[in-house]
Amino acid sequence: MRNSKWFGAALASALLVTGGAGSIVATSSNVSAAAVNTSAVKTAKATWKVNSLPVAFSTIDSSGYKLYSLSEVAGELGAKVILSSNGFELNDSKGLHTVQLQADAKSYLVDGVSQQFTVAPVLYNGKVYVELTKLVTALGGELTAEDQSILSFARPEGQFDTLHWNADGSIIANRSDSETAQLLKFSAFPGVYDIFSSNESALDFAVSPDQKWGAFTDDKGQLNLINLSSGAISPLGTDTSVKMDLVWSQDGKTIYFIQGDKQEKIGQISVDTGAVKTLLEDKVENKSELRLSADAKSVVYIVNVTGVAKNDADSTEDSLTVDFSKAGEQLYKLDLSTKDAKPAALTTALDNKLYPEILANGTVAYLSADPDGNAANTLKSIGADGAITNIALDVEPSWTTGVTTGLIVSGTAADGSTTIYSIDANGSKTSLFHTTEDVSEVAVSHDGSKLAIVSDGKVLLIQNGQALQLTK
Amino acid sequence: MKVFKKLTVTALTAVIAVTASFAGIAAAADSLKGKITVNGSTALLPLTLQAAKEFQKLHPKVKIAASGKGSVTGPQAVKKGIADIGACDWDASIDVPGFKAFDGQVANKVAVIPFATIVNKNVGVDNLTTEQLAGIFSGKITNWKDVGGSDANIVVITRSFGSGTRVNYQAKALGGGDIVKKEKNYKETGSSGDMKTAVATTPNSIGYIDLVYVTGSDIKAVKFNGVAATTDNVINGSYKIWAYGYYMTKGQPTGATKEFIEYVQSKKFQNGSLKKLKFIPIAAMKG
Repeated sequence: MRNSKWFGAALASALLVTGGAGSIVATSSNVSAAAVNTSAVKTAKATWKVNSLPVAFSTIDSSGYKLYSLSEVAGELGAKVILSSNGFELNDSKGLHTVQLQADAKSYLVDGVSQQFTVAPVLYNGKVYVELTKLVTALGGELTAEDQSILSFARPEGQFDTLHWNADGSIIANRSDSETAQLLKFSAFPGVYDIFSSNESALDFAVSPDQKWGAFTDDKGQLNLINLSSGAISPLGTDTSVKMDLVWSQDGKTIYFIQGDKQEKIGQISVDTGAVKTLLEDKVENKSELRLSADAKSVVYIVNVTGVAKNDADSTEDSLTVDFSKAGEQLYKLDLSTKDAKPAALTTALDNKLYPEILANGTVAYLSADPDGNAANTLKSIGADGAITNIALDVEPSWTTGVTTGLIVSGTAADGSTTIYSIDANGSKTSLFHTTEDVSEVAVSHDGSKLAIVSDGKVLLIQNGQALQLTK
Repeated sequence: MKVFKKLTVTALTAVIAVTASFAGIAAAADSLKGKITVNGSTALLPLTLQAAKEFQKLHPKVKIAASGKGSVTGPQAVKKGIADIGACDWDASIDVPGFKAFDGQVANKVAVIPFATIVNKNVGVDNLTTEQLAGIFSGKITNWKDVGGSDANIVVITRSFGSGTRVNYQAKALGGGDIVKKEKNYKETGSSGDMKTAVATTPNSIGYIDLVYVTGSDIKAVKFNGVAATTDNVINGSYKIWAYGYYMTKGQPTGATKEFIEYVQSKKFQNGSLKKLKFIPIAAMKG
């Protein structure tokens, strides 16, 4: 990345001072520059963080503007500089952008499109000095004046959602405001990212326990696997029934799902053979939120009980009645280890139930919300005896998920701040991070050392006590 | 949402004591609350319930209760004030054959629903024209041999009056033709599921159904005017038996109802779960 020495040498050999003080001509290219009154020029050093590392750039003050050494800035950004008959041509290291400029000319070209400097580049003592912000952005970099920082490659802009980690430690996120489907894969270094997939069906997927594979269905009902490193997609099996809420087994060999046009079945598919097997077909429709125990011996799911509408044979308006009094979500548990076992109802109350989880000790946890909107959300657990108790928290929970050690919970305090906790099997809580900003999504890395969050549509990496904003 | 002017995460614990992967949505300091009731089209019910589940993750305190009883009961329920949203397979704010407009209601497009003509697996015919279908459902054509099949009586299976699938099938497949009740070789069903079961278990039968239900080996979809019933053919304009699904509301929706409808219409839901449930996004039909 740091080729400023190379550039400095090349420039020195190409330029020759032929006139009096301040009059400079590039003999090999007929590039000319305006005279600069050296006595009026103030030179200095300005330190910026370039890709997180401090760099002192040579600067001059010209007409009240601070201009930066072209060679030094280009070198730090890894850009290649060519001196030609038309002036200087700079190419960024990815080959995505070309910048053409001349000393003493306010006009310059970025990818063939004319732009204007506020102050024309100046040749002084064999070096060209330019406006920093315009040079950095023209080369595809990003400059933040507030904290004097520069990134070689600008972070992508937009609204992001649907976060996932992969086994390589990369974060995969969907750019939701993109015209076309676009999944981006981010490294832990801001500005370093790739387009991971443009497959519309793959915008969200269930991640395997080893974070090497994602599973998703397409609009034909076909199940597919996506390699979370390469983005390669391959079909799994040939079944095209509707499959929702995919869940991997801990050994990564089986994927469980809610199956059927009306989500009336629970099924599974072998990752090795693609063979589909129906586990439950009890004619109860509207199943969702499938969860599998770590030992794969039981599943928990929600049944969305619908209202009951009645009318006469002629569908007259007068005859129509609808009873919503029993409508709502109820939790069920199915023992997969017992042949022909029947689902057991775990709940009867009409609260809103979200995020069910089966913990290692068999306890079922879920988030309960007041359908009247008056009481705060609570986190509840259902013990082996069927008793439902509240899990004490000092925040109002809004999201939870199960992990091998217990639960991860995101909640909002009275002051509006967000805290994410881990709660172990004994109910002991550890604060993972706290922020005054809204958090709309959370994902944790394979080794558990890092979090990725979405806040205000931006993707942030949280590690080692630091938050890095990967998008803008 | 507050704007992230700079990195403001504080008090981070450096090591997270977990070893499993997870990702999910957290509803942050959400204040939206309210109850939303939805009644009507059984075809749209799975879509409504899926959207409700996802919407509640964003707004846990919003209650969404839904029921299905045929499209016409959607705008009827809205008119009677017993549902906030009437799910309907046609635009009930305008007159359609058999049903007057529901004045004052607003039709909010939420999905594209393809329909298919289906026959029992023993029927040898694999393509029917508009004229042939109109003849079959009006009772003028009664034997499969008259449309290229074997010598066997055609058993007509249709949806009951008030079904959105029936309204659309008459308009799009039968060219506005009637479905005439017959004394024999005729049956009415009350839901898409019942229709599928009836055709699957009745030799020489013909019916019609949402394309999503065309699964299994006991029924098969036949081409319409030579064009196969596929979502691709709907989108490319060559297959004509489809309709928009609507959420009817009393006037413009407001509050939680408005937010819910906007979620169903969002790109995230339209291109995500809606497609996985084998509906077609409304945006796919533009341009």
